[in-house]
Amino acid sequence: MKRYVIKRILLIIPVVIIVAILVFTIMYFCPGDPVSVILGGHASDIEIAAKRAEMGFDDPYILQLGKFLFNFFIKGDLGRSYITDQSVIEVIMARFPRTLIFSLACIILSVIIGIPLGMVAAVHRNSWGDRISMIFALIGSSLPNFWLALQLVIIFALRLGWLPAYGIGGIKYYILPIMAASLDGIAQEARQTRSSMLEVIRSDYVTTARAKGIPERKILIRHVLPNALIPVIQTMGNIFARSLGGALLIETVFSIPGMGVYLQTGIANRDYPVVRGSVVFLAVVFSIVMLLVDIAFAYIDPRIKAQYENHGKKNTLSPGRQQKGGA
Amino acid sequence: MKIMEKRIRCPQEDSRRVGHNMNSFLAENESMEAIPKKQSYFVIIMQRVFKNPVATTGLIVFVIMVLLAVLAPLIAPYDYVEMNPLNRFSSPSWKHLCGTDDFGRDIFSRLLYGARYSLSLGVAAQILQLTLGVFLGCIAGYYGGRTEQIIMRACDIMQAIPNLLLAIIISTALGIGFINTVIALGVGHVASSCRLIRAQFLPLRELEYVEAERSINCSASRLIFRHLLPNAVSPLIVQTTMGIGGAITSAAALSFLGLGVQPPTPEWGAMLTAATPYIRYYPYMIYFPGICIAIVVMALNLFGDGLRDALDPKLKQ
Repeated sequence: MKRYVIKRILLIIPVVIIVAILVFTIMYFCPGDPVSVILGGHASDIEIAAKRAEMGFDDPYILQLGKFLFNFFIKGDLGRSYITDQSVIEVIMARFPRTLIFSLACIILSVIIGIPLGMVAAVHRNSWGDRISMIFALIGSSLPNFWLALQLVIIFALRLGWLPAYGIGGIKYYILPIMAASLDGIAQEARQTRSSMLEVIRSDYVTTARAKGIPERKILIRHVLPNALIPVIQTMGNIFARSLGGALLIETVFSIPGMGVYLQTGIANRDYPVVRGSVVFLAVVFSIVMLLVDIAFAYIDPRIKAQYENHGKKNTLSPGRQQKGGA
Repeated sequence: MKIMEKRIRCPQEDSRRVGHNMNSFLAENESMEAIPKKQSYFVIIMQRVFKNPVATTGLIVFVIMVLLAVLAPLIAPYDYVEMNPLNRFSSPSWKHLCGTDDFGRDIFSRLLYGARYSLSLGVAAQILQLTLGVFLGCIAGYYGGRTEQIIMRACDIMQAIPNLLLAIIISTALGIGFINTVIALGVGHVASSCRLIRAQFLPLRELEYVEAERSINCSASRLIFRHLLPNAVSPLIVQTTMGIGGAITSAAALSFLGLGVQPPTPEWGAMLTAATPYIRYYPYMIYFPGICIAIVVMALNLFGDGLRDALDPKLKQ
């Protein structure tokens, strides 16, 4: 098991570095001259040339890339904004927690609402509960989340006046954005849980368990759930990626000063260090989260565990989970 | 020889993997019982889809949307650029079904024309993604070894950046516009179709009929496109169907962030962006573009679900 974890951690290093190179390279080819943006329209050619040299834009690509990687990975510095001259990493550190709240809320809500919804739908297949929850899941995964956010603002903030329409503050400022951000994740998780439960319910070992006369409840908890949840947990990484993207949009709707608004202003002002820094930072965070998911997953899925486990060690898994591992 | 060929062409009569092989199998065995007449694989699948009322509804809704987009000049009551300063912000009425916007343009007409942009954006992005993804996936899946390693690690890196973020940076670098948005959305998802095709190829390339084809000196391209790909394509069809909806939503998200297709183009996302400042007093401007996106995405999701069941009879019991 240790070998697997170490292998995964080592694998992430080249991925993160290449992601940084990729983002840098794409942004390197951005059109427009940031120097004329910084100096304004009235600067003379000489001033522009001097500024370019000062900021290192005349350096060859490799040198600029090297500097960027060195600053980011060794010094933890993502450069300074062209417009405000603030350190990008400092701004990100202040803003990122607000974005993370939405992603985390989305994951938590999709687990505590989405999974039970999918389970109920699968167990009572073709019942009204199944139909209603699947229609809900279908609608939830079809609505563009920023549009949903706008609708929530119209209904709860502008019409009813119950909740604030934008900004940050107490808990009630977070209700609408979290609702908008997590509907998609809940819907995805419900659909995934239902389909993987249905697949497991049909499998031979469940039939065997039924034939042995084990009560239905016990079959569900010990035989169906542990195996059905494996793909469900896998979906979680996917949901995290989507919710991170979604959070960026939803923040823009609610004017929450998180990464989304920062990125959007960066794009609007052609402030490349901001855009580059935000994307690289989010990609690195995302890679680390996926790494954690993978490691957690290795502990849950006995098939991965079996590949790497020492044979001398005692197997600590519950009997229900062993079945699939043995199969 | 004919018998030999027949055997090679039908690696497994398992109904799960009916590719074109099943088709030629059916063609050559017309006299067999239980198969009344020659039917193409496509027809068989579509018959299964049409047995599912929900999936059929999805398909019909999508076809209607496409027809509306194609026939927009005939249906639209007004020109989509026609401004009427005297008639700004008029609420939905019989004269203007979805009201008018801040320039007095008819929103219903703009939605119809916008369907052209949004739908073609979604489809074009998927075509780009498929072309690149299938190509790379086939190479990785067929050749294996170091080639496969390199392509799969490249996929890992692509997938280390969340899709929307990747689309954002590509779009920032390329600038706004239709083609650039297609590239941004298409390239961002290449890794997933590449992975899918490769995963499908892994068990297939070990099969006897592939070995047989190799032994008669069949060229790599013929083996890939004629024998392997048709057997691997089912999950890709489902992914693509649903992907069109995803691409439309992502395109709207990009416009919303100030990238992608921008107003005054009547793309649905761009219309949403343009309407956002008027949310307080004229919320109807927000309703309709979002509803259009939701309807298309929902229709494609329903159809995709049905298609998945139809292609995989094991699941539908």
